Amino acid sequence: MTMVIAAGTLIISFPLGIVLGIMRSSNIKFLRWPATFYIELIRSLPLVLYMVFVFLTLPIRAEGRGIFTLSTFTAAYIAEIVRGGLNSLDKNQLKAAYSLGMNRFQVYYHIAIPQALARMIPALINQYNVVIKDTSLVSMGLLELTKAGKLLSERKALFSMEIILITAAIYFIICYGLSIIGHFLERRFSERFKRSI
Amino acid sequence: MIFGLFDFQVILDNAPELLKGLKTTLILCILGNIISIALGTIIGAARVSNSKLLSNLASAYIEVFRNTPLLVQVYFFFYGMRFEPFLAGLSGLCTYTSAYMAEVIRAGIQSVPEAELKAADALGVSPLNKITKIILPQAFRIILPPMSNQLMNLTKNTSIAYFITIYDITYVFETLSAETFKFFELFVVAALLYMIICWIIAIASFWAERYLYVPGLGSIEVELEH
Repeated sequence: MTMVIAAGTLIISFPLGIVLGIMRSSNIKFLRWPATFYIELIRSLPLVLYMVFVFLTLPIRAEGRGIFTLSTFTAAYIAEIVRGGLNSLDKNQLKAAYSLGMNRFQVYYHIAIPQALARMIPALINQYNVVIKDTSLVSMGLLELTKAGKLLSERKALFSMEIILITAAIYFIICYGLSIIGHFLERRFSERFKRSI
Repeated sequence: MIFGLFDFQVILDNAPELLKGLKTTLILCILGNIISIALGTIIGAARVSNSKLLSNLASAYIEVFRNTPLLVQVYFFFYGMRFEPFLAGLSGLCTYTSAYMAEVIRAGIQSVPEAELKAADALGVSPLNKITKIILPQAFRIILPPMSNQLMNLTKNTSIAYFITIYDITYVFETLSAETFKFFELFVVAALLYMIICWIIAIASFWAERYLYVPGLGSIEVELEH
């Protein structure tokens, strides 16, 4: 369940985030302003509030709502990472590419995005670490609560100690593994970056 | 046109409820921030201490609480330890945020150059003075921006209290919109309340940064970029 939602979020939020990030750093105002508005709005909302709003208003299946919430939410954060990655690029390279006669799409596709992606990987892994933790809100929070007939004033054992500890252990293994991979990649990229200078 | 669709009446009618939710969220937020800064400082200090045992314990704490979801931690206190709802929410928020805070404080302490500490030793500065006069003033200025980030995260995370029946802004939003079906209006108000709290933190941290500014001492982001 967690994995289905996490995978769905990954697949949807990544392209959405890249598009938003490019829009955010574009020169065209009609592209930049909506993207900026969306990103700032989503980033200043608490996830739970947004999620409850979506669950109350969107008339589709619960898993779909979970994926929708998480991916639209994560896309805003990814867009900021993408913008950071694009900003860190050498501007002269882009100018050189334009002067070689490449069009805007070619410059982004062949030059800007591959380099920016490589620099963004540690931050992205970090962000998906957060996503995996946030799937708990959907799978353990809303779904379980709605299944259990909502709000337990006398807290019958909806979750026992064992279940909580096992869940915690599973999340810990996934997230800790991811963060170790993230650290490893970060070190490797910073070494390569240093060598290339 | 849009004002015609936007029903202000429902907000005015339910203002007492919303304020009650705001009060709970604010209490959670303030208590959570104070406790997690205190806990984070202790754990962050333990993390950089020379004692192997302390530093290993602290890093175990940080890794465990940073790599498990906040909701699982809150449920642990609520269903597992059978705490009262408010106490469970507060404990969960504190353990989760203090782990992040400890990392921020560790980075701040480690950003003070080793050479300065050696120079202080050479000048015969006492250990207490070394901490209060050399490490803390520098570390605090560097820590401020990432710390205010964590404080804002905690503010947004207080909405998790909704899951354990604490009457906070999110819970008020959910119950009221189930009663009145004015989802959009209530959502805007609830979101604005959270945003205002975050803005206050952001502005306070901006002022503190300006007030404490010392030429030549960069923030942590600047340090990382170089």
